[in-house]
Amino acid sequence: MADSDEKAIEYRKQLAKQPLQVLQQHKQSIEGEIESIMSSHMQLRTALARFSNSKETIRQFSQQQPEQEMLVPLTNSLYVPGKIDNVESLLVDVGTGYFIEKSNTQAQEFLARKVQMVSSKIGELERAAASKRSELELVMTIISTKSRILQSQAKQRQQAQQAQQS
Amino acid sequence: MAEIEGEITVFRQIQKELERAINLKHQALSQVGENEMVVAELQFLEEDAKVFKLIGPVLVQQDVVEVKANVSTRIEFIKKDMAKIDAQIKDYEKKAEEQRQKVMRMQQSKAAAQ
Repeated sequence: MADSDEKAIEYRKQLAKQPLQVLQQHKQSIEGEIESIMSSHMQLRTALARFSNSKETIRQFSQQQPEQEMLVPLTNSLYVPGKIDNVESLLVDVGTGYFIEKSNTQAQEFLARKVQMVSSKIGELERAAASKRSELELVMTIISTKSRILQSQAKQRQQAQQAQQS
Repeated sequence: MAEIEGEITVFRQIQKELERAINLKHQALSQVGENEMVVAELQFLEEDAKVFKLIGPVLVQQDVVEVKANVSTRIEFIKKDMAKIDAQIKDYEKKAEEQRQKVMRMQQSKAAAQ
């Protein structure tokens, strides 16, 4: 911990030495990074919703009886009557065009694994975004301090000039 | 003046190429990730599990062992491709830097002449 504290202080010193223009650029690049992290975060959230949704659906499906009547959607608005043949065996899309036949429990386990994986990725991204945000805050404070100092220096110079003239 | 602008256009072009290569690299990376997830999933399977591959609109049943081999070779293939893209990216980065220096030198000498 002490080591990372030292690093943070060192980083702060390095930043404070940079000219204002470089700091502005740095601020923009951090903002861009945060934006791209947030967009991946959104994508993962939709993926998470999809996986948990599928898991819930097959859990409900497993409680149906065979021979149960149902309406099968052919299009968004057209349904044909059908009967459930088998609630135990499902075909799972595992990606890149491969499908694996799984039992209902196995399929639920598969989806639970996916949900867990995506959740941990979301956690990672949230931590990354938080650290980028604190970095951004640091840069912004340095920028405002710096521009205040520059302004007061300019004012002093102006006053000195006026004093000389009069 | 026109000369400098020409060189700046060249610089922008190199940057565009660089961006394209980086996009390709991202694509390859996500493909490797997806394939690796499939491999991880295949590890759970018994020898007699039913695996299908989507070919066009139809699902064709495949042999588990064969599928494992296929996916692994695909990963290898994409990784080789990625190494090529990496080399390209390095090349473009170098070119972009050289061109940037060139433009800067021209701008400086122009400013000095004025």
